[in-house]
Amino acid sequence: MTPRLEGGIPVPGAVSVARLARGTALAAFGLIVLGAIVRATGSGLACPDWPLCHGRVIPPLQTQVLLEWGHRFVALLVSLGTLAVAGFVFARAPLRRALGGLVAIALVLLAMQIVLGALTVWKLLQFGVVTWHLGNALLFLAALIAIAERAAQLAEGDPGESSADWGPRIGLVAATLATLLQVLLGGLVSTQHAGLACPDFPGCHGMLVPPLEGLVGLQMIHRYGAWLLTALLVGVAFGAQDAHDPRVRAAAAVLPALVGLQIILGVFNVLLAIPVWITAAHLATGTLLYALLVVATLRAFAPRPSGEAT
Amino acid sequence: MSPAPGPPPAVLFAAQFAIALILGFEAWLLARFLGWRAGEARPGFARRTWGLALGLAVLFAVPVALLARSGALAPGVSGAGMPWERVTDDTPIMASAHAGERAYLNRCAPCHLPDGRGLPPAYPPLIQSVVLAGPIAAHARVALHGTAGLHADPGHVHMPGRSVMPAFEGACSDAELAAILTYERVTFAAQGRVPAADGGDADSLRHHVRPSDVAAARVAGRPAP
Repeated sequence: MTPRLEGGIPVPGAVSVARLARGTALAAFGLIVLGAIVRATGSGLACPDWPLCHGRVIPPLQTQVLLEWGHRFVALLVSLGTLAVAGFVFARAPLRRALGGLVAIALVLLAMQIVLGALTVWKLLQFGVVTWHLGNALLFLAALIAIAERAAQLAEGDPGESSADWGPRIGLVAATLATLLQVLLGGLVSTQHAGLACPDFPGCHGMLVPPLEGLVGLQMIHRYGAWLLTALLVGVAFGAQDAHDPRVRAAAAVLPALVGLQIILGVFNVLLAIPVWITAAHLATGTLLYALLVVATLRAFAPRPSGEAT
Repeated sequence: MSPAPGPPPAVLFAAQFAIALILGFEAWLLARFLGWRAGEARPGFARRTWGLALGLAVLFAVPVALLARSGALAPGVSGAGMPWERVTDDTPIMASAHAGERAYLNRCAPCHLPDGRGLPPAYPPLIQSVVLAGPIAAHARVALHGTAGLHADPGHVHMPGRSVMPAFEGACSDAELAAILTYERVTFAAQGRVPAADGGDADSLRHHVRPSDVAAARVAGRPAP
């Protein structure tokens, strides 16, 4: 979509949209981590019915039931936040012109996410549905982040010149897509119970390249993907370290640290036989990497305020 | 049902505390990048973040390494590793029951609870259950087909407030269900009468569910009312 800034004048109400969308995006991040905890504790069917839990609004107090119920409750809050953003944007013509498309995409992704959440219960945690639920959640998070970023630009109201700084852009887009794929592959490892298909590290049953079949293949492809992604992310971080946008530079500076943290979590996940909390932290770090790359990519494509020093 | 000897509580707490710190740090970092605070990243932001991440990694690695050294960390309940998928007709009863424990935690404990107490009236307890003490075929039938069609059976009495159990025929293999059912019968049906060793004594004949039993129940299907 083409940016339509109102001739350098700050769009009224954009600050509120930016704040609301930011808060909802943070809640969505927490919701994804909570979803990982639900998955890792095997609580997905703790409420065997949907949308009620055990036929009640307030379920029996038991840990796994409360996790699943809490996931639904936070999902309700995120849905309300998204609807509030949509209502605010569609009620104001300048905001609607600039943000309407993004908000519509977010609403469609939210509707899909709710249906997929119901299907995970109705289909008894079939692995394809659960993985798609995660994938759609990541796209929804990206949509919320995009709304927040765009609204923040509208609030500043300075169109400036869009730079032709293509090097970091291509790298950032590739890194974002590759990270999305790797997180989805990790989700598949979890839903397919392939987490301990190779109980050792770095090899699999002592072989560095085992036959890539079945669960062993899935686990090893996730690991090979991790090595390739590490190289890609460190390369992109190196390339973007002197980008114009300060937030792209900051992302480039912290990316390698987060990648290191993610590798440590992944290795301990295998060596300690996938404890729930490490699994959750592993997905949280992967989602954070993805979210930072989405922010950096959006910033790299944003028109640069003309007054900014390079 | 006895859990593996756990790691020292202090080490476990330290590891979980470190992971909670990591999650909090990540939320903070995301908030910063979404522009939570007015103004752009100030100089030194990246250096401080590096320091934080490194400190958290060390904080995390020390207790976790201690945990790994203790070697006593019980595998999680996420069902990965799938020892139950290696269960065959020749697997000894206690090995099958042990493999079934983790599968039980994954599939059944959400409703029937890890200790089999259930959540009455919605989810019946498994302890002293007549189904677990009865014939293997009937037990396997409930696990395979759930209780959705039971009301059509003659003589079925519906308990008020009881929930409907889902069918697991599509979700679980014969080996997994055999391991789960063996675990349930050994642990819940005969409290205090667990066979001491593998072998063909009367108890294991009653409690040992083999994958072929589940396969037979699968073929037989739900009997027409």
